[in-house]
Amino acid sequence: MNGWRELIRVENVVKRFGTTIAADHVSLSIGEGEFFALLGPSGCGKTTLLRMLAGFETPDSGAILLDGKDLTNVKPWKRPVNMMFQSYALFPHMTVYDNIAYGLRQEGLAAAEIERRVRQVLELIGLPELAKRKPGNLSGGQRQRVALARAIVKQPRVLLLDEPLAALDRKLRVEMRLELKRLQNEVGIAFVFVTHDQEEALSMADRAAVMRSGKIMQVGTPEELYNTPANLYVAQFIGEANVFAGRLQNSQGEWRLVTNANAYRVPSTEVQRSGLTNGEDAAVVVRPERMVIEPCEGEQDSAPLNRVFGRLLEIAYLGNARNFVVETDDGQRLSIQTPATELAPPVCVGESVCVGWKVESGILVSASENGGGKADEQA
Amino acid sequence: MRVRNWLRLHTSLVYLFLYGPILMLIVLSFNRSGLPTAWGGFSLHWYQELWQNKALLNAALNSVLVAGGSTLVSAVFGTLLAMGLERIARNMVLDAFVFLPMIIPDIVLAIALLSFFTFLEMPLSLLTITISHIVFNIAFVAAIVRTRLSYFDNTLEEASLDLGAPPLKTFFKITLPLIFPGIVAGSLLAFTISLDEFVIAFFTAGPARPTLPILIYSMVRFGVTPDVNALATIVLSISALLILISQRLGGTEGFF
Ligand SMILES: Nc1ncnc2c1ncn2[C@@H]1O[C@H](COP(=O)(O)OP(=O)(O)OP(=O)(O)O)[C@@H](O)[C@H]1O
Ligand SMILES: [Mg+2]
Repeated sequence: MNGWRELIRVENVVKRFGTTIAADHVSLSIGEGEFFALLGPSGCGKTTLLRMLAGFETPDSGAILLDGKDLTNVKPWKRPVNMMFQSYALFPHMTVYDNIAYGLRQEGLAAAEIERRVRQVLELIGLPELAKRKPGNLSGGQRQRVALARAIVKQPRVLLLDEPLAALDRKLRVEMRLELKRLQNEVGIAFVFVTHDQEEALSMADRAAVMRSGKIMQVGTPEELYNTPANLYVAQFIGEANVFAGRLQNSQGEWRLVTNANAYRVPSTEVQRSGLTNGEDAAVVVRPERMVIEPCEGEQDSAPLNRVFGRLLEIAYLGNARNFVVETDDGQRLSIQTPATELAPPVCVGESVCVGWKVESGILVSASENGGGKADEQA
Repeated sequence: MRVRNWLRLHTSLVYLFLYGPILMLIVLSFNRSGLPTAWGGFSLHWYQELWQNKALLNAALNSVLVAGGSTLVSAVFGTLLAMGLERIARNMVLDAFVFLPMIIPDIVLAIALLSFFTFLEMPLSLLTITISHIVFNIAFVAAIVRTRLSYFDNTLEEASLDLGAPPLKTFFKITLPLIFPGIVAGSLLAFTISLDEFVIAFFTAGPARPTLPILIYSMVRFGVTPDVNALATIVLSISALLILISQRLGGTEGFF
C-alpha cells in the first residue's frame, strides 16, 4: 500500500466480561482512509472491539490511539469517530433530515451550513426525496443508507460499521457492498467494518483481521489471508479448504507431510514461510480450485502432483464452476472445483477417481495451538 | 349456538350491572324534579345550582390542587424511579417494593401515613393529602413508564452520544421524547386516581379544606342535594376523557 499512514493503533488491549474474555491482548494498526474488516465467528469479540473504538466500552488494559493521541479517557461524544449501528438506531421521532442533521447540530454549526451538508449527503446516498420521511416509513435498504449518511455527515476520522449489511436480503447485500466501497472512496474516511461473513470481508476490505475468541489470528490483505494463512484456523475460516493433517518430515532435502495413509510433498518455500521444522505437527491446505480430478486408469506419472484416491460422491454444476465431492479411501471428504469453461472431467458419480494437486499449491500451516482442530464456529 | 346466546345475555347483564347505576346518575343530573323516583323533565337546573354551591366548588378546587400537585411531583420522580429500576438496579425485591403502594389496602396506607404525620407533628392540611397521594402516584407513574422503557432501544441513546450529544442532552432530545407518552399516560392515570381518592384523603385531611370526596361523603350523611349528581357527572366525564387519552398514548412513536 503506497502512502499508508497509521491512523488508529490498538495496543495490547484486554477486555473481560466476568469470565469471558472479549479482547485478549489485541494489537492492530489501521491506516488513514483504509477499508478495514474485523472478521470472525459469532461471539469472538468484534463488536466489543468496535465499541471500545467508539468509547462505549473501556479496555481493562492496553491503549487505543488515534493520530498518536491516547483515546482511552475521551468520552464517546468527544471522539472524532462515528458508528453505524447494526440495528441502525435511527431516531424514530425525527425525520430523515433531522436524523442526519442531529450530529451537525451538536457541533453548533450555522443552520445554512447544516442544511448544505445534509442535502449533500442525501445526494450522496441517492435519497434526496426522502428528507421529510420518518424512519418508520422507510425500507430496510433506505434505513441502512440513512444510518450511513447520519454517520458520515459528521466527517469523522473513522467510521465504525457493525455488520452494516446483515439485516438486508441477499441481493441487496451484494449491491450494497459495491455501494459502500464507492462511498468510502468518495468520502475518503477510514472504515472499520465488522462482519462474520468472510465473502463480504474479502470482497470489500483493503485489509482484514481474523479474530477468534478475543484473539487476533492474522491481519492481512484478502490475498494474504487466502493464499498465506497464518494457521489452520484462518485457512479454514477464509474460503473453502481441504485439509491434510500429519507430521512434517525432511528426508534428503525434500520436505514431506506424512499422514496415516500417505506422504505428500511440500514446497520448501512453504516450510520457510510457516517457520515449521522437522517433526512438527502440521497440515497441508489445498483450495478446491487448485485441485484436479481425473479417472483412475493406468499409470499416472505426472511428477509434480500429489495424489489421493477416492470415490466420487457428488457433482454439482454451479453455472460458473463444477463442484465435486470425493471421499478418499481413508474416509476424508474433499471438495474440488473446476471452471465450467473447461471440459468436464470424464468422471462419474460412484466411480473411483484420482484427485491431485501441484506441490506448490499446497499451503503449509501449523496444526497445533491456534490452528488445532476444526474451526468450531465456521460461518 | 346456544352457548353463544347465553354468553351474549351474560355480557349484556354484566354491562348493565356495571354501568346501570352510573347511567342513572347521569340521567338524574338532568332531572328537573331532583327526585330519584319521578322524572320532572330535562333541565340544566342542577348544574346552575352547582354553580351557586361555593362549598362544593371549593372542595372540587381542593381536589384538583391535590391531584395536580401530586401528579406533577409523581411524574418527575416516578419517571426517574422507573429509569433507575430499569437501568441500574435490576432487582426483583426492589421492584416489588416499589409497586407495593399500588396494591396495599388504602386503609393500611392511610393509617400508616396518619401516624407518620403525627410522629412528625405535621399539621394536617391539603399538603399532607398531597404528600400521601404522591406515595401511591409515584408507583403508578413508575409502573407505566417502566413498561414504556422496556421497549426502549438503548442503542438510540448510544447513537446520540456517538453523534456528539452529551448524556444530559441525549436524555432531553432522545430518551424523554420517546418515553413521554408513557409519562403522560401514567400521569393521567395518577391524576384520575388522586381526584376521587377517599380513604387516604379522609385520614390525612385537615379540618378546614376537604377534598371533593370527603365533602360529598359528609353531605350524604345529611342527605344529598341533587347538584351533587351534576358534579359527579362532570367529574365522571373528565375522568373518562383522561383515561381515554392515556390509553390513546400507547403507540410506539415519539410524542413530539
Ligand atoms: N456487556 C456485556 N456483558 C457481558 N458479556 C458481554 C458483553 N458484551 C459482550 N459480551 C461477551 O463478550 C463476547 C464477545 O461479544 P461480542 O458482542 O463482541 O461478539 P461479536 O464478535 O460481535 O459476536 P456477533 O457476531 O454475534 O455479534 C461474547 O462472549 C459476549 O457474550
Ligand atoms: Mg456483534
